[in-house]
Amino acid sequence: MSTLAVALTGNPNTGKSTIFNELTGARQKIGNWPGVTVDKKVGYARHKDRAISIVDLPGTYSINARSPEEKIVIDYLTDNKLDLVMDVVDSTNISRNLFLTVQLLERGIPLLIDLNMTDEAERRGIRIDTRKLEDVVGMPVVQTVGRSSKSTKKLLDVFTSTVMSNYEASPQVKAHIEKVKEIQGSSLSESEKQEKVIEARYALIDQIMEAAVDMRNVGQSTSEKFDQFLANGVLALPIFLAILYAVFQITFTWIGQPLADALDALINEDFLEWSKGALEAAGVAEWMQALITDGVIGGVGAVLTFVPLIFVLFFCLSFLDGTGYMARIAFIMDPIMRRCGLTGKGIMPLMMGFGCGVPAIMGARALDSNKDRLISILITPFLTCGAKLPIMALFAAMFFPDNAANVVFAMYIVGVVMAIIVAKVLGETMFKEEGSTFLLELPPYRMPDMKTVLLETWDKGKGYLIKAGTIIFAASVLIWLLSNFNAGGMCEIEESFLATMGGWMSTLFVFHGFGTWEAGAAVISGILAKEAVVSTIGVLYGAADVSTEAEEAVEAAETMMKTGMATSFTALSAIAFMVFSQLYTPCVTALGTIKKEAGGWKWMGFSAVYMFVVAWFVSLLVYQIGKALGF
Amino acid sequence: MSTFIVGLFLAVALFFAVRHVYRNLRDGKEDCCGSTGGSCSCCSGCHSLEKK
Amino acid sequence: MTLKDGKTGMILKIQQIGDSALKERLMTMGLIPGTKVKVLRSAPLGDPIAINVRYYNLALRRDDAAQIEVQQVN
Repeated sequence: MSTLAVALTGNPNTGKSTIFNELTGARQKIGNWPGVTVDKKVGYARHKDRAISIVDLPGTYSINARSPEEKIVIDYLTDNKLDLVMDVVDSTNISRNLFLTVQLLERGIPLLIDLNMTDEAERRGIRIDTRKLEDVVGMPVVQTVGRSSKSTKKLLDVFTSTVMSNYEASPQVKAHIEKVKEIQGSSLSESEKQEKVIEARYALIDQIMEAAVDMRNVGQSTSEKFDQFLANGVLALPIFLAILYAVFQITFTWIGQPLADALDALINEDFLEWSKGALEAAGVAEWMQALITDGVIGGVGAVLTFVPLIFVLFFCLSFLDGTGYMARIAFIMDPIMRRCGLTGKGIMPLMMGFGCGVPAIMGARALDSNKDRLISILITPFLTCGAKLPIMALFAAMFFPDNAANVVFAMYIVGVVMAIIVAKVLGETMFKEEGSTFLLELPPYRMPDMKTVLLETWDKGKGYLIKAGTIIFAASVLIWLLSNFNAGGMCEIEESFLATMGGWMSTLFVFHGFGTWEAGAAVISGILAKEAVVSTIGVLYGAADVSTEAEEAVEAAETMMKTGMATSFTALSAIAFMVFSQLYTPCVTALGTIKKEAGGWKWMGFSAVYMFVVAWFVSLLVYQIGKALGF
Repeated sequence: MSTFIVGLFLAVALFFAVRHVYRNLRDGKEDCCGSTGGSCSCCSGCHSLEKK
Repeated sequence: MTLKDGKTGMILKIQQIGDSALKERLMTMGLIPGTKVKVLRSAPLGDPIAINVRYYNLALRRDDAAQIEVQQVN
């Protein structure tokens, strides 16, 4: 039998992706819709010897082709011959969810209506009679409970046993379609027609609600009680900060860092020692031994050590996203963001910027005005992305072992504050005032589905692993070669190409407290990828010196303390270096994305230069003021 | 001899690494955040609210 | 009065929505003349506001709320 083709559609926040993940598990491919950067998720399942392919269409409120997502949904549903289209409806929000349902029915698309979150609806006193709903719409209806895999697995039975051609729209729906045709054929203006059609849709929805839904006993939802604190007035802001702070503690103190330390011991001691022994026993030439241990293991290892931190941070962000709190952040931050010349919705791409600047820059296209978009693109790279995090974590652990999490948190704040200041300045100089709007659903709070959170974490974090194995690996070898050769062949590190290049760079930083060629070289390599700052430091200060006294070294920081790094930096110059790394020119990938999204070399060049300048001045200020204060 | 073998391994690995980076550059793809980012559900929520 | 003047706890019935770029989006989200909305709360500094409409919550700015003409019900 041929593969059963199923598509999932529905509003945002209906648990559609959770159902998709439950049905397909890890058997899914995430690709791209042609021409647009919206995720295309296709998954596979097998049931009763029938192969099933499931497409998770983007969540939309309507299909008016206004956004790329809406266009994808219409095009996909009209261009493909599907065996089944399932419309996932949030039972707690059935009235507005039915808007999309009605719109799909207008286009003659037969639907399997899935009433999801029925448990939550029942708790809130919403009674939905599925038989009556089937009658009044004319389409089959199933019920699911958000996160129960038992209830979603039942869907596979429904998929294989339902024959959509057996169903026909009800008289009410047919009458509605006639009415819409009548409106479309009338002599009203285009916008008046649209409004009349929308009113007709809600009139039909009211009919459906009347027939099948009992809302008489609806009480206050628990989300309301949460929102009294989390999204109400000025109190919401300190709570937001506290939640962010907790995320950092989890990442840098409680869970992420201990794991990173353990991994570090594994890589930089056990594995390094073992490979040294193995290479020596095999009789490999000394320079090749050095290339492998100092270059590859030193460089890639320095970056790999931070993988647990990245995954823990991404897990926290995905978890928060799943709870529905992100929408509250946009809500409570809108007044502040607006005063900075941005919109509350801009906080979402910015929050993504803590993961990686690239999707954050792309996410900016969702913003209303050109001004919002450009400012957002230009300030996003100031934030501490996942690749800058190892820099902060390494320096904080080395020079502030007792306060590491706080120092890193402070660096995040530096990034945010700079972003805000620059947004304000750009808003008032380069872009003139434009109006913007803010319309956002505040979905009910929900316990996120763990499978979905984990899949998302993996999906985001694996890019970091891929980078470690490719660009960081290549860069580490390059850095090692550059640090061991000059025009005359192999040489001492102080006379190498890298020392020369780093030396030129370092002349810029004599008043910053880190005018060493090593720091200069790290700054140069950081433009390739921010992780390379750490891998370069790993190659330059790392393994070569560590090898002699590795027996007693426990943590990366302690290992590094025994190297030249401890004497190259003071606590103050370490801070200055962190501030500089936080703010300077974004990595090449981000620059490429800026060129694509902002439209041209001009913006790319601008952002590369102005960020370097800003970083240079702020870092200088930090060092000189710190010195004047006697640190 | 063993130096040659290790070097060969390294060269092959390096070839694949550089090819990956080169292909990313050529196709305008990037490794961060899975495929293309923007998979967070709340963002798709506001995307679809936006006017074109 | 308009939705902009709504105070927390008020239940309001939408009379009409002024012509603006936002009108169609507001209507799509279920704000139709005749629909009742409840004002829930506001963000720090009083703007934007959150309302309950058709059993879900929606946030919008006061400037946009000023386009929505309402009548108090409770």
